[in-house]
Amino acid sequence: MFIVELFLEYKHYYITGIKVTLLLSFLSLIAGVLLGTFLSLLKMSKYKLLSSISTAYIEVFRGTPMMVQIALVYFGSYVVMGMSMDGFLAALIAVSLNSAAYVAEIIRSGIQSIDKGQWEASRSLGLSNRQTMRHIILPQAIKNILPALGNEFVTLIKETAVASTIGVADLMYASKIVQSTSYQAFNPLIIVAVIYFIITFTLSRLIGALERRLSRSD
Amino acid sequence: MIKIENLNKYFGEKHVLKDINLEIKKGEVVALIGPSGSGKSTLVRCIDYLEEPTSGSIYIDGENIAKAGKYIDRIRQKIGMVFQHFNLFPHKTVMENITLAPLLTGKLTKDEAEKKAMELLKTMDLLDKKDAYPNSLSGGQKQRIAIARALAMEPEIMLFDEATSALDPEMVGEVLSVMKYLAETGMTMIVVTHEMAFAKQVADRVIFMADGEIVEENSAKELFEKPQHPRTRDFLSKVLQY
Repeated sequence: MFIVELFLEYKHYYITGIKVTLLLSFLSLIAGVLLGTFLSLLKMSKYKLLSSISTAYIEVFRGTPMMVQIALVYFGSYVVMGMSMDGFLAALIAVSLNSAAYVAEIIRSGIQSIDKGQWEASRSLGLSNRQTMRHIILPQAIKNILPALGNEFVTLIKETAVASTIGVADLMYASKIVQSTSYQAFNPLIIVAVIYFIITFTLSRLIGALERRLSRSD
Repeated sequence: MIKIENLNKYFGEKHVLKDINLEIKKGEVVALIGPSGSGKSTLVRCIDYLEEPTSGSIYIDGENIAKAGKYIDRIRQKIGMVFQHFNLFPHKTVMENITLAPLLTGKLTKDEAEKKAMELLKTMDLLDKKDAYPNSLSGGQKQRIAIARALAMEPEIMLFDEATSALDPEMVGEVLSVMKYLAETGMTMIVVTHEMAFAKQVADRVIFMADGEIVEENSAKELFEKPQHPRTRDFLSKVLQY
């Protein structure tokens, strides 16, 4: 019961933290989808140079820790612009750049999972590349892509916890404040873990329901 | 109508079409037969430019398809293709499958396209399936819809790439009768097939291919009854054994 009391006492910190975490994750996902779509198109390009650029980007961002990426953007702003960047903005940029790499792969694999015969049938009818993509491939690919994007959102909610290292007042940061003001090391972390779990578990269930609905027409 | 000159196709190191020369006249029904891997499918796929020839030229109505660039779509609209695995669009109803291409290419208005689709479905004896999704259909029904979809573009040429090979035996007949009917309407057709009886009965000309080459071509009667080349005799003796 002591934990519940602790939560109620400091709940405004946690609630602000939840808002910041959700906002950061959601905005990063949106930016990630925009940039990721572009990267996936580059990657599927028939021009080797374009697809190599995209591959290199994806490999670098998937192959380095997000914590390092966030720190690089945050402290890099001193080097590049000579002034400090807002922590939230730095985190948003870094998480978006990171997420774009994963989203690019989600979109690419969603599109490439569609049978080659669908392309051939559509092109053989005289439809253009663009018409085929828009009317035949994307409507089918979206069924694979949407649930995977939902999972990416869940991942972001957890991973953005590292934004607290540059002082972004997210959910993880809230637990640090509560730790230092309540002089308790353990219980604030239990609370934050439960909150993260409730959010991600609920979202996963929603995604599962969406996935079942999308696959019903198959 | 179709003219193929010195066509070569490589897949990596593999030489799958070797110096093919072929001319097909308007209204002609040509059956392509031969063992698996002989290049029959690759040849018809090259005609629809689904495979890019390594060298040589293909002319459709005098137009070189390799030089068509973005006009390739316009040339493809003259060619209907029927695939072994149907390749219907699973997220669209039967009606939408048939009307999609005429609508998107601006060939027909919505009313015209639907009227056309109804006529085709009637020919295929599948009027009751117009609002069904492809996955609820049998293989034979799917292939007849695929033929209707290709015909909706009013093509001048129809290519059949082993259209009955993926069907259960009892459904082969219904698809072959549609193809036979089409042949009787004067459609120019190239049919890659393993159905020798069909080739013999419907084709004006039969081409036997092996190892990427045209080994022998003749009228159906001549080729089946008096094959000249030992390779043809060997193949026919195997497939006509039973």
